Amino acid sequence: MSRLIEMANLAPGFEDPPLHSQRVFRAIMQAQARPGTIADLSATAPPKLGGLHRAAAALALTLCDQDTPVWLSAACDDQDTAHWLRFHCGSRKCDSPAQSAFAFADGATAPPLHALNAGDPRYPDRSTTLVLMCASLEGGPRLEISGPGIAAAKIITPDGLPDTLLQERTALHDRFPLGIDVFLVADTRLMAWPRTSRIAALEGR
Amino acid sequence: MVTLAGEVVQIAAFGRAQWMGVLAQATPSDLERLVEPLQPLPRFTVLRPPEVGMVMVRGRAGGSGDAFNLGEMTVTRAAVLLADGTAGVSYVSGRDHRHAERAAFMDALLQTGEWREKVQGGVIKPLQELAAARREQTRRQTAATKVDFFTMVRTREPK
Repeated sequence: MSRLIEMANLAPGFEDPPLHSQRVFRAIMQAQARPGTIADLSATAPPKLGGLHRAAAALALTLCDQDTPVWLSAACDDQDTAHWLRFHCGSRKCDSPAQSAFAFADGATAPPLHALNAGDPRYPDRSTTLVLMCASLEGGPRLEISGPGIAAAKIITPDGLPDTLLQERTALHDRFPLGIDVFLVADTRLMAWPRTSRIAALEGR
Repeated sequence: MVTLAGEVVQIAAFGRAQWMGVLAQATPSDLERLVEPLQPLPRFTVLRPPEVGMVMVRGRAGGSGDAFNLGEMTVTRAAVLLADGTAGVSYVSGRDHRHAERAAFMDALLQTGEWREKVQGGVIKPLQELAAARREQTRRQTAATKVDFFTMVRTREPK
C-alpha cells in the first residue's frame, strides 16, 4: 500500500473524537464485561462506510491505531475503507488475518478462527480480535451463552453467523488462555463474545 | 516565494507546499480578516476536527552538522472536505483551532479551479506580503543593534 492517502471523498470519522471515542470505549468495555448483552452505538457511530457497519467503524475509530494491523475480508476490503482506516486510525492493512490485531469480516467471508492469531502463551492478549458483521443480533437461531460475566445461562439469537463458528470457538477453549475475542456487530449494535464465554447451539428454535 | 532579504519574488508554479506554509505561518487574525471579504464561501464538512498535538523540531548545527532534536512544538491540525470531494489539510503552529480549520479550508479551495485565483490573490499574496514586511522589520531591528567585532591582527613579535 502506498504511503500516500487518497483523500478525495474520504468519509468523516467521529464528530467529536475525544468524547465519542470515550463513549464507545465505555460501551465496548461494558459489552465485554457482560457477554451476550447488546450495546447500541447509534448516538456516536459514524455513517456507514463501504462494507463496514457503523458499529464496526466506531469500534475501529476507538480501538485501532498505528500499532494495530487491520485485516479486512472481501466484504469490506475496498480502497475507501483502507484509506479511511489509515487516515482516521493510522492503522495499516495487513495481508493475512494471522498478522492482524483486528480482523473485520462478515458471515460469508469470515476466515476460520484457527487462521487468526490466538496470542502468545506469555502474552495471550496479543491475539486477533474478530469483528464479525452479521445481518442482525436478534431473530436468528437460538444460542446459549454462559461463563464469566453472565449470572445464569442466557439465550442469544444473532443471525448470519458462519456455520462453523461455534465449533471453531469450542475447539479453541482447550488452548485457553489463548483464544480469539469476537465482537458481533449489526448496523449500530454490538455484542461481545470474549474467549471465556461458552456458547452452544440449542436444538430447535 | 519570499526570500530571506524580504523582497517578494513571484515564481511561476506556486505549489501546494508553499501555500500551506504561508497559511500555517499566518497570524490567525490576518487570515480571518482576509478570508472574510471572500464571502459567500462554499460549505464544507469537517473530516478531522482541529486537534492539538506535538511535533519534534529537528535542527542541524550550522546547517550542515548532524541532525539533533531541537525541541517539541505545539501544532494544531485539521482536515476538511468540500462538497465536490476535494480535501484540504493543515498543520499550523499553536493551538488555535479556528486557524487550523480556516487554513485547511483555504487549502481545499486552492485546489479547485473555481476558487484558486480568488484565494491566491485575496489571501495568499497579502499574507506573503505581511510575512515579508514582518521579516523585514525584524531584520531592520536586528540590523540596528548589530555590532561588528573585529580582532586586531597581531603579528608575532620577534624576540
